[in-house]
Amino acid sequence: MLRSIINYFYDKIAGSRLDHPIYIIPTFDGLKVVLLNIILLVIGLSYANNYVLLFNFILFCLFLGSMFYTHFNLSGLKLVSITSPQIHKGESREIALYFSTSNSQGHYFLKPSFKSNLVKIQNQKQTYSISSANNFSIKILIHGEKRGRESINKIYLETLFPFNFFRCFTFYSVDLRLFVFPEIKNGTNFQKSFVPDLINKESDEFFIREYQTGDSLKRVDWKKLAQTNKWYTRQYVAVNPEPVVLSCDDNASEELLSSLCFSIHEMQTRNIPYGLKLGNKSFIAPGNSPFHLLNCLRELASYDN
Amino acid sequence: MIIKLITAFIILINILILNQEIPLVVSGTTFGILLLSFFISNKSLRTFLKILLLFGCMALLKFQFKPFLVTECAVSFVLLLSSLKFWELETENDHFNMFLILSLTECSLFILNSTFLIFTIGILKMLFYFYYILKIRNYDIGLLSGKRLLILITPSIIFSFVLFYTFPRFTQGFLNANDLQYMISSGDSKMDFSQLGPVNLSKEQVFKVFGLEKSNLPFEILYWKSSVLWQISDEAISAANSGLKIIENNSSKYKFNYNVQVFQNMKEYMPILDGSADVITSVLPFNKYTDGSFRLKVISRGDLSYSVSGNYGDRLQNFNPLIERKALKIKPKRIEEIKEQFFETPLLPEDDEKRLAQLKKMFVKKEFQYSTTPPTYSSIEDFLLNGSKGYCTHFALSFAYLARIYNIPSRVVLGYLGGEFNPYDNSVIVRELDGHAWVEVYLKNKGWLRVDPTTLVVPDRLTMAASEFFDSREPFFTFLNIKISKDNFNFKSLNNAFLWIDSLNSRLSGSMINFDREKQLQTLRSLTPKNFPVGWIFVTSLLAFLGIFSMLFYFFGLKKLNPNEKRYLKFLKKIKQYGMTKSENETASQFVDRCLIEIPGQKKYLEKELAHYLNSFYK
Repeated sequence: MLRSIINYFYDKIAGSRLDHPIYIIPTFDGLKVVLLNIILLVIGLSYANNYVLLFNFILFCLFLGSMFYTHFNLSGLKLVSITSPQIHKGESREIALYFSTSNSQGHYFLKPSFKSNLVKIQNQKQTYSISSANNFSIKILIHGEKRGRESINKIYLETLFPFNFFRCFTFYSVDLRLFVFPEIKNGTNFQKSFVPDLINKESDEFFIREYQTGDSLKRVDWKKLAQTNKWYTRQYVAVNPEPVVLSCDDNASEELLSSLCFSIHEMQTRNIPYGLKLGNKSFIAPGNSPFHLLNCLRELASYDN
Repeated sequence: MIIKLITAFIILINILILNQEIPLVVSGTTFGILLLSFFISNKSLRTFLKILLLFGCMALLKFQFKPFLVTECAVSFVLLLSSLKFWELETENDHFNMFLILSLTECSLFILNSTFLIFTIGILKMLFYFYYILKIRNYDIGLLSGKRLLILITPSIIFSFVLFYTFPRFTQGFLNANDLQYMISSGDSKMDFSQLGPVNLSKEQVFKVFGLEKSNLPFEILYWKSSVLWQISDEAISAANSGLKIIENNSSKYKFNYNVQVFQNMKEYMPILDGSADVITSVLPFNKYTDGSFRLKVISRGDLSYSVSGNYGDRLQNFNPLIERKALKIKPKRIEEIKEQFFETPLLPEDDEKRLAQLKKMFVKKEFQYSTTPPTYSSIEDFLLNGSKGYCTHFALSFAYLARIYNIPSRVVLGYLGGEFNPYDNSVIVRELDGHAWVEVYLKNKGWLRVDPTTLVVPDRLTMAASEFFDSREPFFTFLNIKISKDNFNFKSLNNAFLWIDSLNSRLSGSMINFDREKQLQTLRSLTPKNFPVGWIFVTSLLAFLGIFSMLFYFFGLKKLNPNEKRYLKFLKKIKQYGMTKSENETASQFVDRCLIEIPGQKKYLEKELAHYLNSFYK
């Protein structure tokens, strides 16, 4: 019940069109202090005791002072950029948040978070400080909980500093597309089909061609030069493995996707060109590059059975 | 662990300070519970015992206190609660809750010991405790030190004083904490004083005398009745019984005049008044303490007058048949035995002065002995016939009893005799130790006259300071049946230190504890335009506090710019006057190029500033 009410207000406030407005509300501890203040005021008035009244006002002023301080601790802070992590299910990675500030005193005990179904922030109680000493960045450790793709639009940042009497928070608008790739796990077999590549058939040997300006001197065939007095260049031909297309049908299980992910990484490491065919929905032609790897992984993350 | 020890230490200090104010059984139980928590580590056993102890404490409070002793009961409850809470100090949240309970205990201390030192120590204690709570919250407390702590604490403390002095005192208080100390400290007399009418300090006896055992009578009234030892009107009792507050009639204000003469030992009889609420004015500066003592500041020879309100007429010099009847009222059971033993001649002189002289002579002849630890007597007659050892109360009651038999209207007055002169601030401290009982007799030609039967027994009581007098009576400390002479200890320097602390306490307390509505109006009226409501002054102070605090933080957070940055900002500001604003996407050079097209007249200035900018930031 309480959780749903909190979520309702979270969504309501997060949906605000304002540019990271700062909200401040008393915490449960703060409410206890308010109650104590009321009790002390009643006692002070009932007994006409000035010391109780003064004690009450000292507590009250510290309470109000802490309200200003908590707000001050968050004001002037702007989120400049955020890194997009590449994370597999079951893995932990860092997200870096870069800030700029107009507050010379720095910002302390900040607790960033965001709403996600796929990842979970580790050490949720951990707080961070921002000052000129640590280059205005916060690195949060996240853990991939579920494979998938989602878009994160709001980053929540709160602080309770200094007395935990007030919770001051704000939302930063971001456009973070979060992909959680399948777990890297070798297990289930899947279909592999080799694609013959006759054009690029390569061997260990070399053939000789005429020297062209710009060719490396290391590859000049000096023997032939001595024999013919003509410049030739040795053209080595590397052996490239045959491209492989990894495929699965429309109802692939998570285990199968994990195995595909494992194979993709292995092939990327071994420099084998690979393609991906996920049912009839998507097909990525064979290739082997970091960008290709990212594309394949994203496709796996987005795979919806 | 450190914070647990600090908590235990604070609770122990609270027990010690409150020891004089609450029953010993409550202090002992609190200490016992605190101690027990260190020995029981089994979790389920702890929980079980805790619940058991909670019920035990509730039962203790139920049986220990009468319903009207709300203050005492509440203070005891908070103290017991703090020791019970001590059993579950594990998380930071527990410690914070403990902080709240300890704050309430501090509040009890301030009510029962309204002195500046107790207040200062209390505030320091709580700040220290809160600091440790912040520490266990994994806060790097170093970040709160120095400037940051200063900017938070200093304005808060200053403004709390501003708010305190401007907060409207719209009430003079609904409860009186003075009842507490007085009831406890004076409730151990066993004598049946009902023979003399309402003459008692024992709480049970007071209620019995007035037939009010089951009444919900506000205690202030009983306190008033018992302390002045004279009857209030029947109307007042019935009004109190019906739960109504006695309406104070301003026209019945009566001025007491007690002549205060400062002798070497500051001896003067000062009848107890009924708490500061009833004292409207006094010629000499007057501080009332919650422990029953009061202080006359800058005392000098002269009249000490109190103007008091309420139905006090009976206490004064007025004498009418009704008062006479009451002043002669007696319930003698063994009058013949008394007469036989105390009356040498059955024929008493006609003249009341002679009768009084004869009574005094006879009282001296009886050779009573002064003792602070007399045996228990069942009645005044029992004391007169079977006893010889007693103290002021016994002598005063007996003398009043005999005076009534002698047909001299008499009444017993309880109050203070003397005090200690404090040379550090020229004041007299009147303590519980100085409590005294004496008699007032009515003579036809002279009115009410003071007679102190104790001085007839021990004249030293009048000439010596109370502490000196009691030391002379009991010159030994008794420790495990070993008597140690008090002469072995020299308390003089220690006493001087206490007097100095007391004077300091008094100076600091004076402006704070006595800051009532009248003083507030007087102060604020002199500072603000006439008839400016106090409520508005408070609201203005609060708004000023909020405004100044926000300004303070604004300036505190401002970045310090170097001269080049300042010059650049000044340049942008000047160009803005021509309607040109630098976009975030363009560089300074691009902006200047744009400006050169729009405002060619400022070409020289623009180029100069651009060159300076590039030199400052990029070379």
